[in-house]
Amino acid sequence: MCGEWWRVDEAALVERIRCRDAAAFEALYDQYHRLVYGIALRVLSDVRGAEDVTQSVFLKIWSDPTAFRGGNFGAWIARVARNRGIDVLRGGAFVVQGEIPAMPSAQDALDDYVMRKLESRNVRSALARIPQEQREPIELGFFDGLSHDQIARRSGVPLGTVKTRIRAGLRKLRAELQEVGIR
Amino acid sequence: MTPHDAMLEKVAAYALGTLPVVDVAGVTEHLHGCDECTTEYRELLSAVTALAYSVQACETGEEGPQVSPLLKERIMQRVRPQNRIAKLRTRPLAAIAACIALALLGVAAFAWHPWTTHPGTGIVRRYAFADGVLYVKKDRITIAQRLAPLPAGRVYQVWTLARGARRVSPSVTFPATSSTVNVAMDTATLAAVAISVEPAGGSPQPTTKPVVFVRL
Repeated sequence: MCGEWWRVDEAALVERIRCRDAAAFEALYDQYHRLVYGIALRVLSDVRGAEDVTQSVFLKIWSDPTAFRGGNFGAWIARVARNRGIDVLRGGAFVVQGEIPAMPSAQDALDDYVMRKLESRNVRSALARIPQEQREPIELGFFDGLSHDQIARRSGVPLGTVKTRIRAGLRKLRAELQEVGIR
Repeated sequence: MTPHDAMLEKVAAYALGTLPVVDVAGVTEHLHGCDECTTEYRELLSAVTALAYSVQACETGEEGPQVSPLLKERIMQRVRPQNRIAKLRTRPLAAIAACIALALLGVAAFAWHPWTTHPGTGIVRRYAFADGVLYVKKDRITIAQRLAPLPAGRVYQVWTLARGARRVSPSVTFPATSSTVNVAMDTATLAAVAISVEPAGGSPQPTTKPVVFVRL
């Protein structure tokens, strides 16, 4: 067994998975399966499809743990799940590369532990306080995988307005999260 | 709108995952050289991750979409069997000897422990590891072990990990000569049990790699 086995952090678990430690893989699954499944279910609106995506995401981590190249694990696996779900929607192949660039600044973007403690309903409540015209393009972009052009056409607003609203909405969500104690 | 304002909008799309592929390399390069955009990216990535957490499935017992426990079984079946088969192929005699030893240890622990004389007092879960067996009851764990002898001044120490906890908690120490170890505790949230070799008297946190690690 390698890594600091007694300290349960995601980087250590992934390091142990590289050593083919099934217990570490199980711990990672226990911590993140609800997040992965929830995203897949939101993207696909299908239980069977969401289970398949969840399985493929975790087995991909088991077969190729080097795909996680550091940084915030929660942010990374959320992006992997979202991208996989959208790939399935589009009938595409599963490609993990390029999920979130491994840049030093992303490593402390947020704390997985704090995020896990934050109940989903509190996040939903923060999200509900964002104006509808800002929330809608964010959700269309993230969960439906639409491009800015597609969002603009669907919403009937100029492309520039879509970009501005997405940034304003994310900043507003960030501010709302700070209100409930997320830095 | 200045060119930098336009870049900040691209950074938002980058964090959300909606930036066109042709723009990704340019934004990545820009982020490495611009503190303002890096801070913006970092903050917006937190918001996007929170957005993802907003749809996370519910815990067992909560109202809302839940993950089938069968899914975990299905996934773990793809992960575990190859480990066991590989070990058994490489060390068949050791595997047979270990099975016999575990069976004997299991019988010994049940024969010894008081709860076996009072059937029906609680469910016992059993977890075998290489040199012993871990029994988990509602209010205690029992370790029946045959670990290697230790040099003078060293003991085995038990560590427990609660579900969702970031670190293991120290528990009892015992000499190699103790074939059975009991730890009274509420096991409702117990996620794992480990044993490591520590200096006599124990350590506040492990100083060596575990000789036993059992995930429940």
